[in-house]
Amino acid sequence: MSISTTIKSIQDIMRKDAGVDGDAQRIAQMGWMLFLKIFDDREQEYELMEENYSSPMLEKLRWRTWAADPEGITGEELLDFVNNDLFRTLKNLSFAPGANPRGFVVRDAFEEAYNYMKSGTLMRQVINKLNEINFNSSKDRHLFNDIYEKILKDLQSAGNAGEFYTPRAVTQFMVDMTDPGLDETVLDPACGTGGFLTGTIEHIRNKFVKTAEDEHTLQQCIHGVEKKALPHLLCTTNMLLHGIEVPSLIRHDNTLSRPLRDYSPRDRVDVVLTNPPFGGMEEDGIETNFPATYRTRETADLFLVLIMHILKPGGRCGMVLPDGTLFGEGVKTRIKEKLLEECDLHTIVRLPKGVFNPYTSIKTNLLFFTKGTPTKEIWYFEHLYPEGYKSYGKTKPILIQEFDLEKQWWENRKENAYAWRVSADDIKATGYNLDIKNPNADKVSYGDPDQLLAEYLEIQQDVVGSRDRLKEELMESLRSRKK
Amino acid sequence: MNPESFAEHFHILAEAPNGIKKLREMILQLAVQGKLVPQNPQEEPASVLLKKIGAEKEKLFKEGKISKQKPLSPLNPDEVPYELPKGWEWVRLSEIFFSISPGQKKVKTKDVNKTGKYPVVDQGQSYIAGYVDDSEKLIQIPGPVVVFGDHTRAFKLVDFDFVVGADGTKILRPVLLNEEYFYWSLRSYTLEDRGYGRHYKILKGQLFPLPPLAEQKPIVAKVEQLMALCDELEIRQQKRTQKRIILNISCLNALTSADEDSVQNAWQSISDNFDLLYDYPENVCTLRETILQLSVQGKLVRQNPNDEPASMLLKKIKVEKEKLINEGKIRKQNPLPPFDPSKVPCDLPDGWEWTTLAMIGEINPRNDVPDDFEVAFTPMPLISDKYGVYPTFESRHWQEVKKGFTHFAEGDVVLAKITPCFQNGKSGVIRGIPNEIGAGTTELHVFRPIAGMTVPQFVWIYFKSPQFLQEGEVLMTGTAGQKRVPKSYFSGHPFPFPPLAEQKRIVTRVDNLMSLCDELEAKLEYSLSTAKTLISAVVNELIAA
Repeated sequence: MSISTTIKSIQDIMRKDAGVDGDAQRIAQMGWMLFLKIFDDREQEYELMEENYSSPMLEKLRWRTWAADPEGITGEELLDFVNNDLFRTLKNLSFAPGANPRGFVVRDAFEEAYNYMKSGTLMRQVINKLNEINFNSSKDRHLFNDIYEKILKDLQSAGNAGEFYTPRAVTQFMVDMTDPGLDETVLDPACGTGGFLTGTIEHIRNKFVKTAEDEHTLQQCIHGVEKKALPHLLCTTNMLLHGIEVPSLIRHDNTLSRPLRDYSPRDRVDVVLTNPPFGGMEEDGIETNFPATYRTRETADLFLVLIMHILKPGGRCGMVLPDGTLFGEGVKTRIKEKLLEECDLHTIVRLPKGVFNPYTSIKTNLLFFTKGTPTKEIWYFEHLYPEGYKSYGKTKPILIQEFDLEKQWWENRKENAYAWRVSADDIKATGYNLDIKNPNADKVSYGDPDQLLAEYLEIQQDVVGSRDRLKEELMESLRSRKK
Repeated sequence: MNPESFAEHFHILAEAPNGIKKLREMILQLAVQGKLVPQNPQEEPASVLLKKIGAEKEKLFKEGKISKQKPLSPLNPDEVPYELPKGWEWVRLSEIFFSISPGQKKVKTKDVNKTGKYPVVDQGQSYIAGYVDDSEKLIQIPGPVVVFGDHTRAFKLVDFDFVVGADGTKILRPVLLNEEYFYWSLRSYTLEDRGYGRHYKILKGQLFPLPPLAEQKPIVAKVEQLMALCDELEIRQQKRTQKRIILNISCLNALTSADEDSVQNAWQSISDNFDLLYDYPENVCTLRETILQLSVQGKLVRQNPNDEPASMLLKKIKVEKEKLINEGKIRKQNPLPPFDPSKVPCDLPDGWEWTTLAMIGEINPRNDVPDDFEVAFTPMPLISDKYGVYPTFESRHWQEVKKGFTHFAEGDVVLAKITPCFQNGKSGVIRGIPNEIGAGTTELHVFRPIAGMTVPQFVWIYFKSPQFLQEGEVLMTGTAGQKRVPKSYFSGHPFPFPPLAEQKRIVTRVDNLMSLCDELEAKLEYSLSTAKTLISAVVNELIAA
């Protein structure tokens, strides 16, 4: 059976359970179960690779012990075990410093997990369905990434604090253009379910990783922070699936809750890739972590300030921002002033509406900048819909191929119908309004009216011809009735 | 284009899909360019008016009625978009009005009622949003004002005291100007849509063509007269379009419900009005459906008494089917319910028979081929809802698709059973697939004709006929969004079965008619879009001239 049908039937089973209420809970439930299962599958691989591998989990809590056997414990017994044994122990795992770091991953994962299911029998059915998938088979794993993203999408449509699933084409394009290298630390301060991070891992692995040592370096470079528990768990699982052995660098925290001045040079990173939540409002007190000039409650703006601060000199950033930040005034003006003074904002790719459908239809921009030198000029690139599209949607998502135009232009920049540049002085003169429309797009030529008129009259004649033929043919059909 | 040519072809321009809209734009542009009414050199020039406005604003400031204005930068000659007539002046928009701030007097949308003492004006589409009774919220205006929607870009001329609704409602009071002229010339601006962004700032930065005071009133009179004509034309056009659609539907209904004798009359009324009816792409769509309906009624081609009648064909099929079952080539079916002749929908032409698909073929057959066969795979998006567009496919190995999908083979006719695909008539004849075997979405019913005695395309026409789809829709079962048409409808609904030779003739004729419809529709759409470009080009030129 294909994996998508497996996932669907799992959801159907969960619908029968009295304890699971709504999409969010169903996904949360599936979240920790998948985590345990995938963790166990990964451990099987570690055991083959490392001779003295010892699991951070007690033997009786491991998936293989209590879940893998389809005829294993079920009903009340299973429910009792999960609620009173598994959860209680995993939530309270304690480790000596320097213990197996994988243990931290497990504890973090279970910190805010909860067992919603109230029927042990149904839980057994779900477990057995999950066991049909083998995450060590590379084919299944590959397929599962897609399914996984689909689950994530379902989850995110329930989000209401401005968090949106970033389409794969967008993350991939941004990773390609920022081009993180092997020795560079990469951070997504609002990583969600890890779209940018997995993109980065694949990018580095394809391009740079040659030896086992390289792979080891890569493992230490990927950092992420996520505020919400469920996306964090899913992100950790996603990292495991992408071969990050100890995803302990994915922290469950709010990046903004740490005062800006507390970030020491040691905390600085080479590359930031992120799609911060827009339009979200932070809780009271968060803004006091920021210098008074840049205080605001708008999450996306705070992230921009934070990123400027935590990049190393020469560090690079690719981030998604809404149009509102580009033309906004007040605090936004001061933030943009700082951005242009401290960083080289070299490129803004303007995306059309609907890239984030169905979560939001607002227009967004991809900003690319490098810290250290002030901006001299900004290149803009207007990303247009592919021919025949009116907007993006569920069945017509944005595709990575669409970015080929940008990629060709990137290294060899010329002004053309989609690309234009604006000097930093001009931007300053308009009060740091970055919302600059494509000056080359407006040259719509209406054509010569007299010529158009002649064409129109010709078409009219054509129409008459076609219509007469149709009429003739119909006449033939109907006239023939009378013999 | 010269004015004579414009006049000569005016009907084309006004009939374009965006015709009236463009004409209105043109009227406003001509108005603010001073081209609608002749200038009178005796009038007091606008420069004098401008000085008076300045003095009046100074006075209002001293009286504390308006706040101090920031000094405006002087006009630069190359900012000016076009040249104005003598006596007119270019000014900055913010020079000639002041804004009235509603302060705390705004009301929330939830507090607005359908009736009440005081009207509420906000930035929405309707002129008056509702009413409230709270007199404290009422704003007393010193004279007519223009209400501007900061988000919606709407302009409203208001000459009564009102209550301001919701955020983003800007109130502009022109100083010493003819308020109506002020309103119409604001309407001539094309402000770029910034979505929910604010537009007031952009509006304030615009330049304003200021005519002499005495000239403003005649301009307004002319604009209003022309706009009224546009309104009238627009309404008449809409009425005509509606009528045309209804006329088409009723003519075509008459044709499909006509019997042998009245068919000629029904056809005559269409034939007489053919050019009128089929000048719009929408009507061609309806015509297409009618053609499909007529063909399953046997009204589209001549019957030939020498054709082997369908009753003979049915007997042959029955024999063949029993043979295939005995040979084990097809599955044995549950005994079919006896066909009830009293339930047939209507009379059929000579030589035709009522039957069901289950009697003349296999329903949802299974394939049995080796796993490594290359086969076709057709998910729902690859099935079209247009007759004549055959389903396409992706290539797969049989092993990958044999479980969990619907099976089909070359020459089968498939029909989508789930909402809304069924209602849209997603269906098709499977053609040109590798190894003549395939599988596809589970939301399909499949019909496989027995031994070439049914033309698959004729069955497709039957699936696409409006009556089949309408009756099926009623019978759909399941929860909303998951409704499916039952298999019994697919296999057991009365099927009009013509002689084999006639089936072929029908299919040829329908294909022919459909391609003519396509051609006509494409040309009509092209002609509409050309008309659209044409009017834009003409207006553009006339404004610039």
